[in-house]
Formats: sequence, structure tokens, C-alpha cells
Amino acid sequence: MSATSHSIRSPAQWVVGFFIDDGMSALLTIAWIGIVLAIARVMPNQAWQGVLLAGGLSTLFVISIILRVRRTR
Amino acid sequence: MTNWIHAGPTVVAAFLASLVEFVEAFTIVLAAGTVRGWRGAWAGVVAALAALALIVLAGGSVLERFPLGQLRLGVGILLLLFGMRWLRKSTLRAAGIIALHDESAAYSSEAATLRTGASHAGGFDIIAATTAFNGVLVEGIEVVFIVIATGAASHLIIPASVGAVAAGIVVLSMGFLLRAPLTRVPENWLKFTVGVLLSAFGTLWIGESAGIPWPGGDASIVWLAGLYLCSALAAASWVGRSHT
Repeated sequence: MSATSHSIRSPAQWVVGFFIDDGMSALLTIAWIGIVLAIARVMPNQAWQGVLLAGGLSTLFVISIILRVRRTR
Repeated sequence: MTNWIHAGPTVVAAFLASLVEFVEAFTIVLAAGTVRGWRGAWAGVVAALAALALIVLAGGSVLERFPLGQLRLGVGILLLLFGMRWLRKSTLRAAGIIALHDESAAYSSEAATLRTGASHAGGFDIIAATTAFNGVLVEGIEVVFIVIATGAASHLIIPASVGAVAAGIVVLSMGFLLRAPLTRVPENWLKFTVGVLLSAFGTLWIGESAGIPWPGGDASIVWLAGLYLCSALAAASWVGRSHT
């Protein structure tokens, strides 16, 4: 986020940009969080619930990188 | 009584994240003041600080009404969105996919834009005031969010605030001494580190809100940060290789 873009955008435009424009949309991210959280909670082995949640959310990060690179090309 | 060793990751995350935001706000205010005049720029800064104080007061009273579980889920999701955004951007910059942030170029661009505005005759300059207001408010909201997000869910608001205030003092002191854009701050690596920390905090709070037991308890923030660090480094390496 450059200084220039901030001065052109108003705070309201920045909020909209943050949730809608930034690569993978926030809604998609929240949906992914919900799915991973639901799977983790029904796992019978409690010790693995945290590991699955962390693995699922870090995978989301890697996917968002791949999507952004493909979009840049 | 705050356990400052326990609060360490919160202080570090709030300090580093706020440092980035204060540097960006400083660049905008410096450009507005230098090009358009300091009277308007200071008026914008003061108005933005007043607006931020109102946001903090209103936000604080709203947050107090939420049960801790819901607060942690909401804060966790926002932290993850915010942290991954920073981590993604800094990873792509490290891999050479997008250009590194250049504070000097940002200042020049901001100054050039400000010079195109209608000139003023020595009095109050509304363009300087609006520019400084927008810059300080947007960056300030991010600082407020970071302090609340890293501190509220674990009752560590004071350590998080200490981190943010320290960052503000560092940036203002450096800016006062140099009177120029703070170009030597390693912004991309700061964003990378903060992205790792905020993503780890976000994951921790989301799990806590759902009652998921973390291996290692509160210390799991360390292996969560390690997981995001390794993911980001591996992604940067892979993307960098495939891009060349």
C-alpha cells in the first residue's frame, strides 16, 4: 500500500478495497476458515485439531500466492 | 499484573506493525506540509487524531459488550485477513513479482500530486489538510486495529499500546532529526515479519474461539509463526524460481 494511493483514496474507499479488491476476496477467505474450522472440530483426535487448523490456514496463504502470481502473469 | 515475558510477542508485533504505519503516515504529512504548507497539514493531523480518539472510545465500549469467545473469533479472522495480506504482498516483493516499496518514490509521487492542486495565498490550505487527514486517519486506523487485535483477545492491550507508542516515538524522533522521508527503514522485511506474526496470532485466536486445544498451549504462537515463516519463504523461493 503506497503512500500515494492512501492520499487519493478516502478511508471509506480503503475499507472497501481491503475487503473486496485485494486478490483473494475476504469472503472467500472467511469461507475457507469456516470449512477448515468445521473439519478440525469434528476430528476425533483432539491433539490433531490444532495441527489441521494451522495446516489448512497456511495452505490458504500458499493458494492466495499462487492465485496472485497467475493473475499477475 | 502484566507478565512482560508472556506479552513479548504482542509488544513486538504491535511495535513492528505500527512502525510501518507511522513511516507511511509520516511520508504523507511531510509531503503535504513541505509542498502545501504546514498550517493545513498540522490541522489535518490534529483532526485525524481527534477522529481516531473517537473511534477508540466508541470501539472500546462496543468491544466490551462481546463475549471473549466471539471477540477472539472476530479478531482472529480480521488478523488473518490483515496478516496474510501483508505477508502475501511482502512475499511477492521478495520474489520479485511486484516492485519493492520505495518511500522516497512515494514521497516524490505524493509531492507531485500535491503540486498539481490549486495554489493558495499563504493562508489555510485545504488540500494539505485533507491529504494529511486521510493519511493519518487511514494509517492510524490500522495502528488502532493492530493494537486491539493483538491485545484485546488476551487482555494485553497495555503491552500492545506500549509497542505502538514506542514505534510512534521512534518514527517521530527519526523524522524530526532527518526532516526527510524515512527511506532506510527496511519496510518489506518489517511487513514480512509482521505478516508472519499477525497470521500466527489470527490462527491462534480462531482456534481458541472454537475451543481447539493447541499443542504447546500459549507457546504455540512460536510454532505457528514458524509454520507461516516456512510457508512464506518456500512460496517466495518457488515463485522467484518459476518467474525467472
